Amino acid sequence: MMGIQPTLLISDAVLFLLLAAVGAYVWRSRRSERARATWRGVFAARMGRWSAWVMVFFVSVGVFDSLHFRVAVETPAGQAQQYSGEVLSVLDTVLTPLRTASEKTYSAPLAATLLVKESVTLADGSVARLAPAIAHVHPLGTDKVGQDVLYLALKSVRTGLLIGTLTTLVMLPLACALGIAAGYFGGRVDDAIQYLYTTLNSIPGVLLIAAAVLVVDVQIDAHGEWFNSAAARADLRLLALCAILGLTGWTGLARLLRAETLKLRELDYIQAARAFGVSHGRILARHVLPNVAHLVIITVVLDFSGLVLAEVVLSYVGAGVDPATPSFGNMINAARLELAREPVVWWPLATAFAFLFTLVLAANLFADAVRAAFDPRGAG
Amino acid sequence: MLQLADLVVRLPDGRHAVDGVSLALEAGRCLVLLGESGCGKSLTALSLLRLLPEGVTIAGGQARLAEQDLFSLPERQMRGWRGGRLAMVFQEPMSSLNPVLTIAAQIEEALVAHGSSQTVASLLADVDLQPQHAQSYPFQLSGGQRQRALIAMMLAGEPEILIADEPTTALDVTVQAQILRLLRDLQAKRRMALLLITHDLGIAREMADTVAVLYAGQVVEEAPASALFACAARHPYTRALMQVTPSLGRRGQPLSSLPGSVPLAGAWPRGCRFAPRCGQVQPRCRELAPPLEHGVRCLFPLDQAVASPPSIAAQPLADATSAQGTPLLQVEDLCVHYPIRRGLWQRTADWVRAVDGVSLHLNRGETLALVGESGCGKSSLARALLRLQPQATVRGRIRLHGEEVLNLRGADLHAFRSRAQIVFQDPFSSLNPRMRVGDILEEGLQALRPEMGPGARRQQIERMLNRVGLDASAMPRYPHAFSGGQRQRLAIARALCVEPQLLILDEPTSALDVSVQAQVLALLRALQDEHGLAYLFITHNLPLVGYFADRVVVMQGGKIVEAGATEIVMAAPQHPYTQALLASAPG
Repeated sequence: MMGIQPTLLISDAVLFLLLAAVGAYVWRSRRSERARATWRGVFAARMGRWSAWVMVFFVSVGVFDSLHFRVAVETPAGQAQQYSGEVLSVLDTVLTPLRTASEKTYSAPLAATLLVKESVTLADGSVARLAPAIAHVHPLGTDKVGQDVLYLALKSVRTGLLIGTLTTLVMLPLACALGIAAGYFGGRVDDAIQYLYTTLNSIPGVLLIAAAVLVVDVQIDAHGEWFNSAAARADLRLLALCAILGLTGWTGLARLLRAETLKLRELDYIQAARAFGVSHGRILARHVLPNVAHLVIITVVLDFSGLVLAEVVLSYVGAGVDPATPSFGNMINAARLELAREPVVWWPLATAFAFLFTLVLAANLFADAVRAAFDPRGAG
Repeated sequence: MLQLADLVVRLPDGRHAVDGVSLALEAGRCLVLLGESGCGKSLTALSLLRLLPEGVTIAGGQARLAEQDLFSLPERQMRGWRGGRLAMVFQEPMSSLNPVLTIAAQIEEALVAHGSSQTVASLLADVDLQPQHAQSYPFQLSGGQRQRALIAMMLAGEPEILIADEPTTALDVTVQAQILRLLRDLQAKRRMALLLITHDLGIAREMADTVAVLYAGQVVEEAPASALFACAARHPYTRALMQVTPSLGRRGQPLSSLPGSVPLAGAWPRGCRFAPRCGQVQPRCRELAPPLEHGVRCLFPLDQAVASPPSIAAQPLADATSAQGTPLLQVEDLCVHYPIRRGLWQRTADWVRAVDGVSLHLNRGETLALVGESGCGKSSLARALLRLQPQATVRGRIRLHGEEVLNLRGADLHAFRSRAQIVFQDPFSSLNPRMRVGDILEEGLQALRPEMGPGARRQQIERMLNRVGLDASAMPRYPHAFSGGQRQRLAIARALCVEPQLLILDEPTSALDVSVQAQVLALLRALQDEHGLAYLFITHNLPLVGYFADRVVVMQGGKIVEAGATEIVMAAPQHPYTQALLASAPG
């Protein structure tokens, strides 16, 4: 009997916590008539509905890819049950035909043969150069080591979503808290925060991130005993990357929020709230934050694509996610060499591009629908 | 000279904003287009230049200038006519000038564009600007100087027709008077036709040869100014407009009320468009749309008999003034100074003395008007009274109800906040657009009356909404669903929720139409009688002061230059500055 052992990577735990939070929000807003009406507005718009479905597809791919387990291996009787070192996910099981159907090397989408010719000894003893037939049909072709590109792309979705959301999760509280505090309180607080982000901005971003990633790498390498599988190691590296991107990426949004808050601070409704003796915390939460929310939504969604692209650049300098982790960055990075080949291997790049484009477009349209629904001027 | 006939302007959604307006401009004469906001007067002016906003189109009509229809002119030719034969002066002189070019460069540009033989120097002299202003940038000039520079630019093409859209709304009264005088002189000297757009009856009276009153996209009355203002208007709307305008002469009497507000474009009632607000409405008015006959668009025009303006000598307002005992609010030698910080370490290099030694007092149930032009420190004073000046140094004494306001800390300061409240000028920026009306009104109660339960709070809010003429159905809505006047009522209700004794009114009606202003003033007066509120009424509008205030203090450069009972100060001002202010008030 082959058993399985569920495995929880740290990023899985974070992802599930996030889902639980979204679930709790949905449960709460179901009970409030106002929130229900607002969200109905989001889905009433055709763009909102369609982009929501696309997002649901991507998120479920990511979630299924986060249900990890290890398969039991045969163990001599009397010993404790042992499990394979390879961590699989539910998505892997669903995609088993794609995952296991590997070729020797590149093949074009839906091609019958490999891309490269080989010397083959024919039945009559003569040697001919021809492209060998491939074992399986690959709708989007295969990559250098013969892996199915569609499978790779689907596996990359989780990495992309994690980088996008986790980085935002680290960046958003910093940007909001510091940006709004600088604009609202002014004076010394403003000075301190401005010095901080000017300093951060004066170091070239990629170099700062690369340096930080290398420091983390050294720590990971020095503590091999922390990890019981290669997947756990790659996972920690991914999380570290998100944290570093978040810690360095808050400055742009913070500056926008500071400027907007400087303007809002002088408006009469904030003065009126102060004349009522409303505390600073409540003014920030009820008057300032809701009135800069549109900026936050727009910036976060635009940054989402920027973050996935940052991952590409970092992979290029060798400071991105683990090379073994499937990611759009790694796919695009590999395309550098593939595009220089003759004939050109274009499909991995095209696939990565199409997936990224769909994901980012859907996220943009959905965010726009949300913003419109929450804008009181739009609703009658 | 210019004949505009049956102009129809269509909005992007198909509604008509201007609906059959005909006007005639003559050389050397001034036509004033008078109306409240939203009645189509700016769109009429922009149509003449064919500069309507994106999507707004001219759907019908003709504008004949020198036998040529402006509306059928090709755009290339029209560009030459703009500024060449017709020129326009806009409301906001700062945004009409390019901030990175000198005045000379901008006038030069206009001269080159029209191939004019005039020079920058002669144009500057024409608008009474000093020659050295040619090399100034717009930010170095005052508002009045900027408006002069803009007029000089408009004169570069030697236009036959000058259109001025509320040219003095953004300016102080004394500057306003100078600009109006300049426009009149230029018009006479250059034999231009002047089309002046305004909502201010005083300006119309001073400037116009002919007045066209616009209501809901139509001209409702057109008459020579002398006849209109001397023998009273014949259309009920014009008559009502004159009667809702506050002045010293109407002191103590209620302003006749003009209920409601101008209907939205396209949502016009059947029959006469003014019928729902008209005091003399007859059943036929609701059926039959009246034509414009003998200059009046009314089925039952009023007699032209000389109306007797109630010219009762100004009298002190009732009882409240004479209330004796200790005043509610006492301010002694108050100074509000802002530090000017310089250098890396933000050392205080100098001080701006916004308020410099002001003393005043205010009794329960009394209205004290604080009059002055922009920058005189009146708003700084108001904010200092409410302890809303964290950046400034405030010295002196403020006593409210015997309490030293400047020494209050913590819980005492909190308690003070419910005794003194403020209503701001702009009802659009004083309500948070992302909060529902119920939450906006509840905020003060939550902060200042934590002991009140949700039910009691709701009751109080409903009571206040009813009091200002709204009802509980307003609570779940957002501010944008309300008109300017309704928003100002909401702002008043918000302040009154915490039951203050002192209400600071910071130009509470200057953003409102004159008919809505009368409604808000009536509400404020009724609330004062009911609750014995003390009002500190900040304004630059002198006729309004004459109508509304018991006493008046005049501020200039952070100091009080004159103080006294309204009827005395208005009738016999002692200080030259007060005299200048009074002389500048139009009308």
